[in-house]
Amino acid sequence: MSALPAHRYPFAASPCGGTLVELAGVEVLLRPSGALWIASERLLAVADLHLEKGSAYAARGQLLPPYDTRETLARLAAEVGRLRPRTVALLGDSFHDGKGEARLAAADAQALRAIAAVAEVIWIVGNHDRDGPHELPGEVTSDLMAAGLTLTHEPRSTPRLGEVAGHLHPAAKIKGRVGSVRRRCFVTDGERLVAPAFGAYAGGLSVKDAAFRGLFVRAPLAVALGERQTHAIAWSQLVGE
Amino acid sequence: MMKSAFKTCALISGLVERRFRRDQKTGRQITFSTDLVYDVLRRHQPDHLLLRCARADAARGLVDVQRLGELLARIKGRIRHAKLEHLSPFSVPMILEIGSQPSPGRAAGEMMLIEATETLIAEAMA
Repeated sequence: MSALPAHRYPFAASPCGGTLVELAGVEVLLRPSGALWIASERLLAVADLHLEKGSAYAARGQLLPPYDTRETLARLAAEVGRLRPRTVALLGDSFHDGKGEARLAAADAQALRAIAAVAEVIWIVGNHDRDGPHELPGEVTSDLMAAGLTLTHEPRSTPRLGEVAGHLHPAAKIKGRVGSVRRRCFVTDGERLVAPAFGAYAGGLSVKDAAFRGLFVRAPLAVALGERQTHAIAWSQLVGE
Repeated sequence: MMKSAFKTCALISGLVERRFRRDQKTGRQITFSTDLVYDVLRRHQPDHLLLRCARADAARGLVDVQRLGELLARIKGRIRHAKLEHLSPFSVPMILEIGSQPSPGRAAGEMMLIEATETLIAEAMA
């Protein structure tokens, strides 16, 4: 990708700390939380919640603190409270496994129902949750068209105009004088976008990993999640693991 | 510093296993990041035993605050500041320590990210 000339991406800092970018001609806001906001549709999209990942590991003997679902849903509810979306699109791998919904604590199921009471919840299925939830409210689908964009779980392996996907858990790393910083990030070439994992226990994969190769038509822009704001970072500044 | 102390505690307790280069598989989510566990625990169970251990270690691990306090009390009023031309022999171990804790704190990390964005903007304006 480095052989391609540097592209000047139009982007702007939003007062909320997010970054506004143009995606296939549609203005989208990349929030510091890792959520994506399409204002024209009042649509909030989050990828890879991996709910009940902690309990999935616990079932296999690796005892992790079980608060990941609560943490993830609290952050999602906070975004819903701030933005008042009409639609909440979950871009797949919302549950870490097919039995995750059954392990959900009553309070956490209630938190999801509270979100579904104020917005239409669309469960886009992923490779970890192929069937979607059975009891929870909302619609289950494999793709969602909105504002001319296609929201899906796994990015198609060749360039695709207007696609918003998750699945890859992108993370950006930069090196400086005092060490390196690694953060979850959005990554986009202006034609398609891969969103960061929103789940508290979801790991990250370097955007320099082979899994991202071939997705973009030019060296993409990374928008890293900071403490209170997002940071647009040029491809040339990113380092691998 | 807290995160690195927590990692040590998490390894000792068996919460996670140490990762070796040769064990690494490609792809994501192979082992669990103790940073993620730390963030979740800090918000949802701040009195967790591992967090208390990490706090105790961080307080004493890198600098023995107790002994440093005693030393300062002992030499109080008798400290002479001298600017040396060269490194003094006793300072060498300390100089070598600089850079051995390569993980910048949250604030330093944010500064690096802000600088990266500024570089991008400067290049775009050039």
